Amino acid sequence: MVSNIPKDADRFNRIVKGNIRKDLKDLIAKDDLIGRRGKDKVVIPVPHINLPRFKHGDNKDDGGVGQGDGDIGDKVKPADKGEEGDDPKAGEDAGEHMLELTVEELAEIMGEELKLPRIEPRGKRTIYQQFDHYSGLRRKGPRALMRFKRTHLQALKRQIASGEYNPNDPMICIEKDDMRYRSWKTKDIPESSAVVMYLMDVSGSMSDRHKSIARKIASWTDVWLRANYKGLESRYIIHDSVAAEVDEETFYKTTTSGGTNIVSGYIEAQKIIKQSYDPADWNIYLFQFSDGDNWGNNEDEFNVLKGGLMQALNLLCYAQIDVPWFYNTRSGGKSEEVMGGYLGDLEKFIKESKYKDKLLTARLQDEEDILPAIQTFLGTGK
Amino acid sequence: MYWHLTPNMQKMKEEIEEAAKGCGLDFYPTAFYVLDLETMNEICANTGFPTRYSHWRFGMEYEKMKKETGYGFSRLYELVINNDPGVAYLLHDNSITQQRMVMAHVFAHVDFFKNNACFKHTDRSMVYTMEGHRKVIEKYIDEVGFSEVEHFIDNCLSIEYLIDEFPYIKRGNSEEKKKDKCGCGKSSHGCKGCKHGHDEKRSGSEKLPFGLPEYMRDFVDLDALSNIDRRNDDDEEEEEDDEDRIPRKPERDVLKFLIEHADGMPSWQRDILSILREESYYFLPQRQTKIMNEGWATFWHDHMMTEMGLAEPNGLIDYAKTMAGVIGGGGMNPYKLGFLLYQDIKERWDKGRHGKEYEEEQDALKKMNWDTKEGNGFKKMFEVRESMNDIEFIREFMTDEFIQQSRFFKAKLDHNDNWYKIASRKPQEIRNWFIEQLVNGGQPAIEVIDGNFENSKELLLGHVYYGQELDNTYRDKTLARIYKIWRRPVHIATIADGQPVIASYDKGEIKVTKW
Repeated sequence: MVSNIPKDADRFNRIVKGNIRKDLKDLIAKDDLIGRRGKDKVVIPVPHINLPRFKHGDNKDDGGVGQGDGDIGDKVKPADKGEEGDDPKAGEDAGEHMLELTVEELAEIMGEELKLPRIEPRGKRTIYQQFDHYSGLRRKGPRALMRFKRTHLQALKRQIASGEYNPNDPMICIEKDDMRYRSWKTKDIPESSAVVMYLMDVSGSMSDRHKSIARKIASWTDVWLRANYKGLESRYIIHDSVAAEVDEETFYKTTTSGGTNIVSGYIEAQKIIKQSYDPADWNIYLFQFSDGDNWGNNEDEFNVLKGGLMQALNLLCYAQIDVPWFYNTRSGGKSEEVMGGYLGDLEKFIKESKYKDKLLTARLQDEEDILPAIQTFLGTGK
Repeated sequence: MYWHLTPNMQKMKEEIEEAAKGCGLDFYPTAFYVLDLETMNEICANTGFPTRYSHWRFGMEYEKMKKETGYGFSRLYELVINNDPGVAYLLHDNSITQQRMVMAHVFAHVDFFKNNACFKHTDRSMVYTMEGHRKVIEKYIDEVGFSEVEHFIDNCLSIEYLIDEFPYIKRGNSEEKKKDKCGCGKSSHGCKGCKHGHDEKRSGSEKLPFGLPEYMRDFVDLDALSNIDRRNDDDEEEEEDDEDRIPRKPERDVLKFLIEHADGMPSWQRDILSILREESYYFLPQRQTKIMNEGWATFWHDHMMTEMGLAEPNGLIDYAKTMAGVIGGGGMNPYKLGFLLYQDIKERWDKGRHGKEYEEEQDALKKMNWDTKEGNGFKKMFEVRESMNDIEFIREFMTDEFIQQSRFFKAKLDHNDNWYKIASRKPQEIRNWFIEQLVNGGQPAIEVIDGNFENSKELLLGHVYYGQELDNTYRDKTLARIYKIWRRPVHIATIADGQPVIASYDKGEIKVTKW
């Protein structure tokens, strides 16, 4: 009996993953996946896997036949909450398939779909450091490593078990079998070699939708990089007119308002680099999210970039989110050509400087653009 | 992982086989295999045939079963295949008492397969046939490519069930057929006497099969009965009609029509479609007799385990627990419903509670204590299992008394507060609900009306409307798939939102027009 089933199940799962790929755009844009981490489970209902057949339409009025006591008019069960039009496929008989994936696997699918290159760890510092750690026990070893307490305990156990031990006349004789020695394990501790800084504008001009798009990109970038880059560190900075380093959770949840002063973010980033990451040893990436609606004429920003930040960075990825924003003063309320000036200025500035290869930019007008933006940032494999 | 029976279980099997024969069950020799859970899931996902062709939907079924059985939501004790010899798979984890019960259950199933009229024409060497099908399909995969074949099978599976539910019943005008179909002398059926006690000698040249009464002669296509596949030639045999319409009468066997009339269908597609049609006909009777079959098996394993004492004394509690699980739940649990109905039949025919006299008795007390000591319970049960399907079974034996005693009710949605409420306890309504679920397996009945629609070889299907409309999304998607098989525009005449409409599919577009 050679069964086809493993083959069939494999084929089925590949079809399912193919379907996910089709829906990837919507999945990536899902709010509840923001900030999830590698091993977190995501349950994805996979639609349309059932074969279409002629079938009767749902007859909601028909409650079927039941059994038991009760008078006419007695309540049997509540109808489903979703009345009409609400997810008609949910709970459908055979066809519905709930697929359980980890966020990491989903990122993997995303990587395949976007044809993202695998990032090869590079640089001289991507070395695993070996640590010898005394953590185990063994029966043989050098005298110097003998564990006396364990050895005595072992001898005591043996004597109690064999009945030799007399509590009134406690005496422990150690035999060769009781000897216990320390032993060590060698562990590979990856030496961190890359740091990714996420810098988000949380000023008043960034609406919730702006921020949600920024967070989606940050979140998926983070998942993908972590899955591919061992020993990656992430730092999070938010800024309005002043900047602050925050933890991951705050970054993904916070709401603030205020003016926009991008330079404050750059200065914060520079500070962090100076404190912890020597550019000689680290690959440093900066992902920046803003609506590009900056105060002033951007002179200060470019001075900071010129004055060392650009030198320290491997790559600056700038995503400008140009979602139509009702109160956008620059556009005068028009939804077309809502474009913060920062993107153009930055591109122009970098072009003229010597850091041409170190800038990637993307402009997002709605959730549709999230995937292309991720592709732009991660597609080069830098 | 699978095992053959251990010597102990072999002895057990012989004991139970003896007991089953003692009950009057008449079954094929049956081979038992013991499987671990994983293999059981695999074989179940393959619908019982490890040799079946490879397709992802079996993989899907497997993933689903793995979840259900793995978390203990459902449990499969056994699986039986309609084949000669019978093949039965037992789950390794069953306790000894459960294995005894399951074996008794299996013998009753095999008896049902062998004797029930619906199964008369199924392929009894299906295990080998399936293997043959697999080889043919594998050959075509080699020839035309994997994804070609897979896509075609996907398309065909959408219409897998569009076959003739009662291939042996004449449809349309029976007059013209009568002349040449009578007296053909073919009789390959195990006619075991007439259940209604009609005088058989009155019939002309040949006895009607399955003990059908004489007046049914005009409704039965004898030729088709003796060999379902021979029906394929019917069209040619008939005298020419004036009309050049194809098919002359609405054809319920849509698959057959496609095989014969689809233009430009490559021979490999025709071959695969025929294979799928054959398998569909093989599984059809199992859908038609679910309640009867499971009820039959449950009744007999219960009878053998308790009244004949096949359960060891210390296994009775275990047995009772398992049995409670098998017949638990309400409504449409086929095990329970069938079991109770057979019990009811046995009691009624044991005590003579049937017929005119009993039914016309007005005195409730007298009715309750009615007992003529007729003692025909088992005999009646065997008659029923030989000659009926689920619909007839429910219509005939789900009596008003049975419905009342079982406390069945019909629920309906109250739109005011969105609760399902008890709407009726009328036996007629409840019986009708059950029958509605069973007609054509609860699926819409579809037939081919015209294979040359608009005089341009377009396909016109018809939905036989019994009061339930089609689901529009599914209808449109299915049309798109039939289009890929037929290769010309496809239409279906149906009812949508109370209006008669024709939905058409052509070049990726759905058009709905009123008519």
